[in-house]
Amino acid sequence: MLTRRRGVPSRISSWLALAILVGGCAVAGSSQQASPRSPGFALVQQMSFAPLELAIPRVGREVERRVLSNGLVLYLATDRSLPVFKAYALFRAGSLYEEPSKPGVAQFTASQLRSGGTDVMSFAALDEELEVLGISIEAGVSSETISVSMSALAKDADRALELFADILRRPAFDATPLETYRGRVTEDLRRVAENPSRLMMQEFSRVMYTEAHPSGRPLTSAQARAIRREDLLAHFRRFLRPDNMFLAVVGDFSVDELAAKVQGRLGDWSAGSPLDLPTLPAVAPRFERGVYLVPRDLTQSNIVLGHFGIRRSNPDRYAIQIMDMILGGGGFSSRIMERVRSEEGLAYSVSSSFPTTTRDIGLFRVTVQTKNENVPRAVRTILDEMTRMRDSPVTPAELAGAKDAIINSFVFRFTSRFSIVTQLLTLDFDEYPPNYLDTLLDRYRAVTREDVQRVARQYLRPDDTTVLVVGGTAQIEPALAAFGPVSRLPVPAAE
Amino acid sequence: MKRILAFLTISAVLLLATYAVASTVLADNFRLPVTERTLKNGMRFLIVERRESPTFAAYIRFKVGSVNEVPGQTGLTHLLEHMMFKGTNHFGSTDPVREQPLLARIDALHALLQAEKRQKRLAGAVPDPDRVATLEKELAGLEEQAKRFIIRNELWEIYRRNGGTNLNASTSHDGTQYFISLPKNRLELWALLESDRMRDPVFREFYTERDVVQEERRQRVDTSPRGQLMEAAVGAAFTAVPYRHPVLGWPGDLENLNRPQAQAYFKTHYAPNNALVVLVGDLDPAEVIRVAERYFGDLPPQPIPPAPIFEEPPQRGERRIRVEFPAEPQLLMLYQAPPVGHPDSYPLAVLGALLGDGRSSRLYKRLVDERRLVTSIAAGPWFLQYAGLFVIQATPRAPHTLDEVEAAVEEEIALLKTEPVSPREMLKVRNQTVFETVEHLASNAGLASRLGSAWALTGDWRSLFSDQDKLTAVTAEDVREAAKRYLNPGHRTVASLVRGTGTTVRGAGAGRPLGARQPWDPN
Repeated sequence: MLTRRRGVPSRISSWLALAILVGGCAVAGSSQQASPRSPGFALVQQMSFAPLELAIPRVGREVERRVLSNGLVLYLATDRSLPVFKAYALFRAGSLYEEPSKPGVAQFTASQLRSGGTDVMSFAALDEELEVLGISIEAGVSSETISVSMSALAKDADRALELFADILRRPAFDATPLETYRGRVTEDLRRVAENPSRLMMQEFSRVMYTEAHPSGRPLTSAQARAIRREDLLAHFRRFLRPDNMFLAVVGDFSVDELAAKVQGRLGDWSAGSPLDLPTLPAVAPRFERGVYLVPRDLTQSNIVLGHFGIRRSNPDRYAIQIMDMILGGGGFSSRIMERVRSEEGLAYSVSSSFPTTTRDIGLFRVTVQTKNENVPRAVRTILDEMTRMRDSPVTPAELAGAKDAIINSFVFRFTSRFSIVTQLLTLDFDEYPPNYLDTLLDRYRAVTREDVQRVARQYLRPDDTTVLVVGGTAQIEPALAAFGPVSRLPVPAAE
Repeated sequence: MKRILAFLTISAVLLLATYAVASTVLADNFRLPVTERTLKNGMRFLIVERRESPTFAAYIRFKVGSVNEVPGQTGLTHLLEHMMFKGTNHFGSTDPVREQPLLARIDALHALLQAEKRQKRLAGAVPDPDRVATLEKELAGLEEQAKRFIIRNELWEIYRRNGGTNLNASTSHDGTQYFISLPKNRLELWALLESDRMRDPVFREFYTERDVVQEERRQRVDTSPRGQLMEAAVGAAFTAVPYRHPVLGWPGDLENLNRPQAQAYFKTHYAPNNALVVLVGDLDPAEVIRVAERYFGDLPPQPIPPAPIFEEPPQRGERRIRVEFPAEPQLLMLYQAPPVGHPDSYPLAVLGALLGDGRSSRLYKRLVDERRLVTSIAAGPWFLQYAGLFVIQATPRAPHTLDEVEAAVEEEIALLKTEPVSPREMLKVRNQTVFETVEHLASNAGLASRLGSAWALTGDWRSLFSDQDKLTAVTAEDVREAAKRYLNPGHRTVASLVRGTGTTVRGAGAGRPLGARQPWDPN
């Protein structure tokens, strides 16, 4: 069957097909280090594909951007594919915006926006009406943002937007759901240690960021118990304001209809005093070769190793992303996965992640789960792969594979109108230039093998890597010393 | 036979007019053209045209799940699913011809090793350490030779370079599924790669992958309180139906599975006439059928062993089990329920939504919000081919005990048996069911897997939509009858996870009161 291919090559005209051709040239242009291939691979390389039309979405085309007189930045789009109405709001109000003396207040505020009722409706009545109408409104929190999303049927759009606006403008922060939530948080904290991968991530952040940064200070039960309703109100009043808000609205309506709906519910929301955003705490990167062991009596260890990375303003971010795909972030097409899982059978889960889109400096991390006796071997293999990435250039096939993957899967970023709008809104919120998506693929295309090796040398630091193991056993502790001085961390107790 | 059999319309008449809050708008919006086609070899295709983005999602399902496994070979279905990514006679190797005899010799050495290490012990003899060492050395040498031919993860690499996303597979009790989403111009590539691995896969790196799956088991079960509790509870809830053994397999079985077993299992179950394919996206059905016939049409059909018939006997009395693990307590209640498609499955689904779906559901409102006994609670049915369970899962909030939580759940169940559910609550549950379905069907991949699963389990993909009508028709009285019939202590398994090392067996019985301050085991 492999010989039955379509014989006539299709005309290559779209930019997408062109991109593949460019990738192909890069492979052909280099004679060294030809990767071994199967007989089938060569046949697949000869297949030709009809061009694929893909218009990169832009503000002013699929999506309209307006700014209301109160400062609210509004993204609007019509979506006729389903009779739905959706909204997504972002505020600069995440945990980094908390008063240092009030840790947890952003998380509590987000939760109680949705759960605490409004000035015109009790929390129980609100829950019930939303569920009867099948409207979903949910709030979330991250280090930078509080987000609130909504989805409803188009025929309920007006009522849904009214409830959404009440939640954003007139939250009641009722004491009853606040106490329920507090109890859920404290119980959840008691259970951190029984989820080894969660414990690993929490303790790694603590070790890396230290007390000096909020990311190094996970919420404690005592802190959760100290949060008052007034703290939520203060956080709400300071940050949940129209001039600190980006809102996307998408639905089975014309753009003008959507705009009129939003104007009616949020247009008269006054910002009042000038917006006062605090200076956010800055990450101070620090490199330390060392091993931390959180002892847990389990058959398998959870391991994370890594060091500080970059922020999104770094122009090397495109080369770093490709480097990370080849190293361990590209699933089964990455070196670490190939060796640790496929070749040596040491783990089911293993991957690296080098964040390149965070405002401040993020953490490069490799995580792996393996039975206790294999921990030293897995860590050694991963560090060796980091070193190899620095010592020699990637193969032309590896580079071409990573670029092809990015370019050919680009279409999946735009499969629904809602995902298009929220992406454009988020890029604007994060202060990317307006033509960012138009030039993005060219940035990846421009990355060379030399670039990849250069960023590996500059940003991968196998000799300054911190290793943290949850699990382990006393038997492997001596072997871990090969990766740096070993310290034991206490297992958080259930309070 | 080239003709397209039918252009059908998925018309989801989702709600009756009396309860028309969500109703007709949704009914109008799943009118997508569907083409159904069976190839001469019995391989069935379903093509759904949805042209919102120039992409498509593909779903292939083989009607073989862990329920088909025989004792001693549990986990084989899932391990086979992993092996399907290891290449074929065309992919995954630089020289499949020279590789072949090496793989056979590796199998033979593994068999000798197993005979020496385990079967000898079973026969009462003592393994010879020198012979074990010799065999292991020889094996290591052969594996090193075989490695030289291997090109790892090539299927993944080809799909990825061609823009593929969501490449994955899953194994369940009743089926094995393979997924991928691709740009629409890659249809033929998909057909080539998938038909090739149905034709002659090569299970290279079998014994390494067996190690990988053992790590998967450690991750999902051995180190997870919830995984431990679920495996033990399901193992106790089923007696006759082989759902009692885990999809991942028992550890002792897993470490002894071998490649010839996987080859035989593949040969038996991965026939074109045992496969369903669902494609959803920007596709031309006539083109799909042409490509399907070209690539899959000459796969030889095989006699499929008749589906085994399993029937779970009625339960006579409550079963209680207790799992000890270094973790805070958890509760799992499993009530015997009918299999998928049974008339009672619809009121039970409504019952699940009433009890556990959303913040205003009964168990959430009462146990999380009002009484603050738990931090989370879930309820709902789990319908499989041969049997089902109605599951309630709760995480207590200290200092409340498992006994308190269980008693509070009982109170809510008792209410359902006595007081009829109000029309407004019935309306809420109907609407929630509809909206959740719509959410799942919004993506091509979601629609493909839902259609495929409905098709495989009921024999008719339309059941995905007709089920909505049956759910809508459920009355408050049906719900009360179902609660009375199924949610009884004598028909359930109650499983408790309690703090302990799991190494010593202490007294039986659930609901040991747990103090708020339990020290963590330091090591």
